[in-house]
Amino acid sequence: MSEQAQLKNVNGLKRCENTPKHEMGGLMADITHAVYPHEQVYGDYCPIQAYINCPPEKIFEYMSNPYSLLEWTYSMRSFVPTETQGIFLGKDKIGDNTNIYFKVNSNKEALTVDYHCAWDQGEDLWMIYLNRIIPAELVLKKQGSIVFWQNCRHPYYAQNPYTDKAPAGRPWVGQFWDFFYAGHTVELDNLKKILEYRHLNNLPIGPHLN
Amino acid sequence: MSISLIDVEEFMPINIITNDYFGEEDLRNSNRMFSGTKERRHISRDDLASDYLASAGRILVERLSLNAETDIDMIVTNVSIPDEPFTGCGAVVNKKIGAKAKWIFDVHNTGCVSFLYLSDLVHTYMKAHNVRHAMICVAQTAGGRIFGQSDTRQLAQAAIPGDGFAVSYVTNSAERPFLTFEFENYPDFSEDMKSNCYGRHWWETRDSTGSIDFNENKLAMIVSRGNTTVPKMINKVCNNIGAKISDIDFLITNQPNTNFLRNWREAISLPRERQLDTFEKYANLFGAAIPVNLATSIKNQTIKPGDLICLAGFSHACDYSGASLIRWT
Repeated sequence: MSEQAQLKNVNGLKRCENTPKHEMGGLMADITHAVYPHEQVYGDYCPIQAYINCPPEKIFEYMSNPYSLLEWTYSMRSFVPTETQGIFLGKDKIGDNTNIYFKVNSNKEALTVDYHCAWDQGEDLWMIYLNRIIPAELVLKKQGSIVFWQNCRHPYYAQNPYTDKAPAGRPWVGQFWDFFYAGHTVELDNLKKILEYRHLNNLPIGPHLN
Repeated sequence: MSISLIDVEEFMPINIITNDYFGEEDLRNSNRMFSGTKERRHISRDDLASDYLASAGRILVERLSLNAETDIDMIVTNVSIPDEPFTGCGAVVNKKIGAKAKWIFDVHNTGCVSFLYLSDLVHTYMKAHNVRHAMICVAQTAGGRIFGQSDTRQLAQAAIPGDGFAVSYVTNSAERPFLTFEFENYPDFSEDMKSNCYGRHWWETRDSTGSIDFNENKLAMIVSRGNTTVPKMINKVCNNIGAKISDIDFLITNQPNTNFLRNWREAISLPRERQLDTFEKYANLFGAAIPVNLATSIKNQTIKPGDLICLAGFSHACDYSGASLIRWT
């Protein structure tokens, strides 16, 4: 390792070698508050998660199918494939006459399902919904799965760079950022309800809409 | 029928102890659980809680023009480190103020929220036994008695406790009623704060003073308990009387450290100036904090007629919690 790369040259590290346990304890207590403002928790990131009583493989199969979004999202509807392989065009019923373009990037081995989306245009899919499915057996010692769902506050939420493609007078998606936690929580609950219903009743997992 | 808080008097030891009296300076400066104080008071070796409480009681008798023999039916006390291991000091206070109270209770639990528990106890006796007036005595004596000893004062944690005393006079009237009480007991947390005499029992012969310890390994859990329960109790008392949290003019709690004080006021969105504490000056007064802070804030006229005051807190490692509301009239 080069001299410059050594940890001692990195300022502000808290490691047991330089921060005794008693100091760390005080720091922990100081960082721990009783309540946190919404902005502090969901300011630039919107992480949510849920336990779903359904095997990880089935959840992956369902979520990685683009048409599942017709079922568990609040407002993504009417999907048609575009000329570009893997990219779909649909309507986002949140906005008036709003086109939403998206593709699904999934990795079966990692159990990740990412939705890359954008309103109004399909060339720059900047709204990215990151999902990771975890076997609950590993982390909670019970059957089923955990779904972690993350969004990051891309700068385009604050400013639409493609205003020329937006319907006149339509509110911009970024105006809803402070409702993302709530909206995504409702949708994740939809996902949980659908998957648990079909799994626990031994029904085909779907999606059944297209 | 109500229990009304007529008056409250604090009585502080004259012995002012500054931070440099204690050891482990690096630890005190680096761990924020041990910082935030400038001074605290310590009682001296031969001081008795009963003397301090009687002194405060006599001031109330004089200020309220009471007849000590007929105007005090009941005396209740909580003394953190008692004057005597067997006999409580309530009867001694009764004697020292020249009172003839019939009902005396020396309560050794509910520490930091003992003022509220004792008030509720008196209220119960008012309803059950026609008690008309009572003195509620709260004494914090662990500062001088434990953390002022030559060996124990070397610990960083010794800087946090401070001694203080307060006596309240309450009557069975509607003059200035406690509007509501809420209490909870958490049995699972009842053994998380203990005396630590380094392998000896506190009653056994030993070479060191020993101290009072939280279970350090449960620090995160205790922080979480306090963060959760105190705001919960504040919400409960507000709900009881149909008040909104934002109706609270002043919050007075126990004052374990600056983190809890911050967290509790944040939890109810209370501006800093609406939280009345004396942590910097008196440190952790345990059970005496609530009545001492109340007395101090009345004397310096921070609290004004019409103010809604919330009293709340938790004790020890969160074995008890409680809250109450008073409209200052």
